[in-house]
Order: sequence, then C-alpha cells, then structure tokens
Amino acid sequence: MIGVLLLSTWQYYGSNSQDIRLLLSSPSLVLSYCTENHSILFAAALTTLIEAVAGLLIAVSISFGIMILCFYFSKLMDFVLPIMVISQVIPLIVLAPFFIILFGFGIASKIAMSAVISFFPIFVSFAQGYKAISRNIHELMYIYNAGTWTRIREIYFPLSMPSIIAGIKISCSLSIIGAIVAEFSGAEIGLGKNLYISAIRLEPDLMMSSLLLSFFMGLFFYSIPLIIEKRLIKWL
Amino acid sequence: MNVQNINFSYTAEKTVLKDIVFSLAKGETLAIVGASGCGKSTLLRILSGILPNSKSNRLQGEISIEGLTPDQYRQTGKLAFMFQEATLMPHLTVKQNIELPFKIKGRGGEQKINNLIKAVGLKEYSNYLPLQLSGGMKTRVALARSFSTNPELLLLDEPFSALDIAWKSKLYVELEKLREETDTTVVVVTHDVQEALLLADHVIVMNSYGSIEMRRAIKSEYTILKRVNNISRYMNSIYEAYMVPIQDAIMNRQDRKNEI
Repeated sequence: MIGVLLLSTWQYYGSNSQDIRLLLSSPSLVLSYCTENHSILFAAALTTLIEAVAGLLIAVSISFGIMILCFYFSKLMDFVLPIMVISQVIPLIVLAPFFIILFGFGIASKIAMSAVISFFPIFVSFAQGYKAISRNIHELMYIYNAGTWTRIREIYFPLSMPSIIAGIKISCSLSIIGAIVAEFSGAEIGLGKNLYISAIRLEPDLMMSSLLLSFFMGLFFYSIPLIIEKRLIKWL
Repeated sequence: MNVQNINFSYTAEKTVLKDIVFSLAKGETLAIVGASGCGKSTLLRILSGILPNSKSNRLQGEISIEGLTPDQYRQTGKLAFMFQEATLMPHLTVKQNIELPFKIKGRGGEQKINNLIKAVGLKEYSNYLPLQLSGGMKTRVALARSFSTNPELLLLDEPFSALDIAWKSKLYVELEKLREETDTTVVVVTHDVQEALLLADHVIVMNSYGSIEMRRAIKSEYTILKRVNNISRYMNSIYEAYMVPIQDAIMNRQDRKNEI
C-alpha cells in the first residue's frame, strides 16, 4: 500500500515537475530505460553481485579460519579481538583507491574491498557467539575429553550459529556497499560505475535504475541468511 | 577413590576447603551435604579435574582415583558429571543429547541409549528439543546422558534440586537401578539431608569453613531393595505430611461452599 502510494507520488511529480524529473526521473521513464538498456544494466548488476558474493564468501572463510585458529590457540583470541576492534576506527572505505592501485581496475579490487568491509561483523559475531556459550558446556566438553575439532563441530559452531547469521545479515548489505564504493573509484563495469557516471552526466534514468537494482540486490542478499536461519535454527 | 588432606583456595586470601579426607570403594555412593557456599561443588570440581584451572588456584593434598590423579582419570573416559542445571545442548534433540558423550568418547551403544531414554520415561520425547521440555524432563535427559558412556565414576552436583517430589523419587529409583547395573561409583553433592540418606553409603557433612563436620557410613543398612523401599516410605511420609493436609483443606473449602 505504502509502495503504491510512493510510486504514484513519484510518477505524478516526475511527470509534472521538470526539476523532479531531472533529479529523480519517473517510474515510467525508469521502466522504459530498463527495457531499452536491460542487457547493459543486467551485466552491471551481475558484476556487482559477483563482487559482493565473492567478497562475502572470502570474509566468511577468513573469519571462520581465524576463529578456528583461536579455538586451537586460545591465547590468540586475546590478541586478535582488540586488534579487530581497533582496526574498525579506520573508515575502511578509504581503502578503495588503495585496492585499485594494488589489484587494478578489474573485479579483484572490488572483491577485496567487499571482503574487507564485510569481514568484521561476521568475525565479531562469531567471537561473541562463542563467548556466550555457558561455562558448564565448556566444562562438560572438558570432562568428556572432547578434542578441539569435535568441540568446534558439535558445540562451538552450532551454538554460535545464531550470532554468525546475525553478523552475515549485516555483512550482506556491507558487501554490496563495499563493491559499489570500490566501483566509484574506478571500474570497467558495475552498478557503482553506473551511479558515478549518472551523477556526472546528470542521467536520472540511469541513476534511478541502478539504485533500484542495488536495492533489490540488497533485499535478495539479505533474504538468504534469513532463509538459512529459519531452516537451521529451530532451537531458539 | 582416596582423598588425602585436601586444601584448596581460589586466591591466596581465602581457603575454600580445609583438610578434606575420605575414601570410597568401587560401586559405593558418597553424599556430600552442607549449606550453600561451604565448598561442596568446589570439591566435586576438584574430583572431576576441572579445578584447579588457573595459576591462582592453590590445591594441596593428594587425590587418587584407581591410582590416577583426577585429570589423568578424566582422560580415561570413565568419568561422568551431572551439573545442577541440566546443561543440555539446545540444538540437539533428547536422543542426540544423550548420545553426545557416546559420540565423543566412543563408549556405550545404540541399544544402551534407547534403554536409557526408556528408563527416564522420555521415549515419546526422543525427538524433542530441550526448548520443548520442562525443567524436570531436562534433568532426566541429563541423568540419562551421564550414564550413556557406562561411567565408572559419576559426579552429581545437586542434580535433583529443580525437580518436584514425585519426579525426585522416581529418579532416585532410576539412579539406584542404573548404578546397581553398572557398578558405578557415585559422589553426589546435595543440600537435602533426606536425599543423601536415601542414596548414599557414606555421608559427609561439611561446615561453612570448608571442613568435614561429620562423617557417617550407612552402607550396612541399605541394599537396592531397601533403598527403593525407603524411597517409597519417604514418599508416603511426604504425602501424609503435605498432600493430606492440602486435600483436607480443599475438601473443607468445598464443604463450606456447599453449605453456603
């Protein structure tokens, strides 16, 4: 209902006001632009999606890898966690030009940016999930003389899963932000490049279609951990 | 099990346990009774090898379980521990929780797991998650889990304190049967003197200074049958003491209502 109201308002002002049309275009114009340029927009969206997915997967893998190392070497956590927290003082987006220099204008620099920006929430959520496991459970595992891998597989990982998924939910949108921001700094193709060009050339149709695609991509991305959460975590 | 002059403190300032001495033969049950904070659970944690767990913990004296230190004994896989809270894994079903130590240690068996589920009356609930169980049911799962690996030493930390009297008595009997079958040595910490007298061959009463106040061997009086009978008698006395007056009161109130 709200969506229909917003679209109608947008269409009304987009059709009747020159200023609004120049700034926001209108739904009908955006739709016709998307139809005419669907292959270019699709290629851009797919590139951004690939960068975001790859970045997120790398972030998940690195987080899990460091946490597994921390489980094996318990003292490591005392060093790693404060470093991670301090590293967040740096606005990570400023690293985008650095990655362009390091990896070039291809998708590698965007994947790196996306991975860096989405790593922290996943890692911290995993660490918090682990820390929330009760002392009795740790002691029970100790009494049963369970090996580290058994503890990770049977207890630490499943019990930390709600926190991990909460972190992944945050990182889903962050990974898209990371990819788009890196594309602002220089890219051959992508939604970020489209948005950057649209602002310079004053092309509201291109800007709004890219914005809408980013929005739907974010929504789709967010729904994946939500589905996993519903399927996997029935015990909360 | 041989415990010689145990002294323990978490920090240098305060001693939690003082000069604890006792011995326990295989298959016997020892109850440790005392007020809250007297060090009962600490003693149990020392026997399990959980304590001392940091450099600030100071443990003096000698503990020998089948010639091994508690930590060495723990590593043999013959030890089981039941906490005051059921400490179930929330993501595992009743059956999976009971199976967990078996999966970790590789001791026990499928038939044993099914028998244990039946013994604690949870056959219909074997696929339930802990979230779907009452407090009493969770305790029963924890009890079954502690027997799943055929332990030779079972340490129980106030295991039945969250249960109502009906389930307490049922589980006393179940514990006795399981213990008798497996010849498990049991050390149970409780603040319930009746529970200690019903379950144990030996009772130690600890005072608030962390020392043994009183020690009594009651083995000669009790066999499994006698114990079960005692539990029934205990239940009847509880019934007479609590339930009969309640029933009378309800009946009286009903009579008064009818009069009005």
